[in-house]
Amino acid sequence: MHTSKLEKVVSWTLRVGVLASASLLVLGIIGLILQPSMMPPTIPVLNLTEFLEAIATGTSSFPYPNLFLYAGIIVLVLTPLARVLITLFGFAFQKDWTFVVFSLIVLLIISFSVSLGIG
Amino acid sequence: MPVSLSMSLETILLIAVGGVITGIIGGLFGVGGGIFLIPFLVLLFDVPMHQAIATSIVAVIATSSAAASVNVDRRFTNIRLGVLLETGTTAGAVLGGITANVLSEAVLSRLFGGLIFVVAILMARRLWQRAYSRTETGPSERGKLGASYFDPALNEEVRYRVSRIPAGLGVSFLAGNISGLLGIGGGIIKVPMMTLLCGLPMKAAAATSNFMIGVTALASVFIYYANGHVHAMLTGASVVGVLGGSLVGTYLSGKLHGKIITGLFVLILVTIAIRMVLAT
Repeated sequence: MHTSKLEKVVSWTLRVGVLASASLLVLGIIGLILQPSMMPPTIPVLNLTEFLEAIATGTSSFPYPNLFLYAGIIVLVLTPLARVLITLFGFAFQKDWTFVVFSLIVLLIISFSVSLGIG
Repeated sequence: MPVSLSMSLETILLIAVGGVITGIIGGLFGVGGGIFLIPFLVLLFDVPMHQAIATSIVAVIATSSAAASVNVDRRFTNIRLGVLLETGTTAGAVLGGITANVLSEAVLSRLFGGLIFVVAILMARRLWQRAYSRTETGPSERGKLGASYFDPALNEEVRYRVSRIPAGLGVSFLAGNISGLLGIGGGIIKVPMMTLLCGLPMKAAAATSNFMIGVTALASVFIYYANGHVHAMLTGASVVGVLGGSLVGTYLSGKLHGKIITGLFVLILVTIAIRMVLAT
C-alpha cells in the first residue's frame, strides 16, 4: 500500500467511524426525546458485558435509546483502534518493519489498557 | 466505585446544547472541546470530576478523529512521526488514567484549574506575538521521518526534516500523561513541542498532534470505563454537542480571530481556572 493510498484509507476510516458514531448517538437522543419514560432515575454507567449480552440474546429487553447510545460510544472508541490496525498493515505492506514495530508497541499499550478495563 | 448520577431528560438536552457552545469556543481557538467541557459539566451541572474527565476523553476522540480525517486527506499529517510519538503519548495516557483514578476530586479539580491557567498564559502571548508561520521549503534531503505537503496558503510545496526525536518522545509522554489525567487532547503541549523542538512547520505539527489525540485518548478511556466513570447518556449528549460545535467553531475560526476576542477568551480561561481551583 503506497503512502498516499494509506492516507486515503485512514482518512475514510476516521470519517466513516465518526459519522456512524454520531448518527447512532443522535438516534439514541431522539429515542429518549420520543420516549421520555425510558429515562431512568439514575443515568446508566456504560456496561459492555450488558450490551454484548443484549446483542447476543436479542435486544427486546434492552431500552433502545440506550442501545443506540452504547453502540455510538463503542463505534467511536473503536475508530482510533481501527486506525492503528490500518497503519500497522499499511506499514507491513510497504515492508517498513521499523514502523510496524512502533505500531505494534502502540497496540500493545492499548491492549494493556483494555486488559485493565475489561479484564 | 461507580457513582450514580441523577439527571432529567431536560438536563441531558441542556448538556448537549452546552456541548455545542463549548465545541464552538474550542473550535474557534483550536484548543479542543475538553478544556471547556469539563468546567461546564463540573461547575454548572455538578458532574463529579472523574465522570467529567471520562466524558471529555470520549468527546476528544470524536473531535480529533473528525479533524484528523480532513488533515490526513490533505496530506498535512506526518503519519510516521505520529505513530512513533504515539508510543510516548499512549504510555503516558495509561499512567495518567491510573493516576487520576487514585486522586481525589479536589486534587484533580485544582490540577485542572492550574492547567487552564497555563493555557490562559499561552493564549495571552498571542496578543502581542505575530502569527507564527514557518515557511521552510527546503531541505531537499528529508530523512526517514521528514515529509512534504502542499500548502495552499503559501501556494507551494513545503518540505521539512524532523529532529530531536528522543526529546520529542519525552514531551509526548508528558502530553499523553496530562491527557489521561485531566481529559484534554494535549495539543497545547504537542504543537509547540513539534514546531520548536522537532522543527515541523505549524500546519504539519497541528495536524500530526491531532492525528495522535484519538489513539492517546483511547489508551486511557478503558481505565475510566473500568472505574465506572463512563455514563452513556451524559457521554452521548456531550459528544454530539461538542462534535457539532467544534465543526462550526473551526469554520468560524478564520473569520473571527481578533485581539479583542482573544483577550476575552483569556479572561474566560482565568475565571474558569479560579473557579476550578476553588470548586471543592
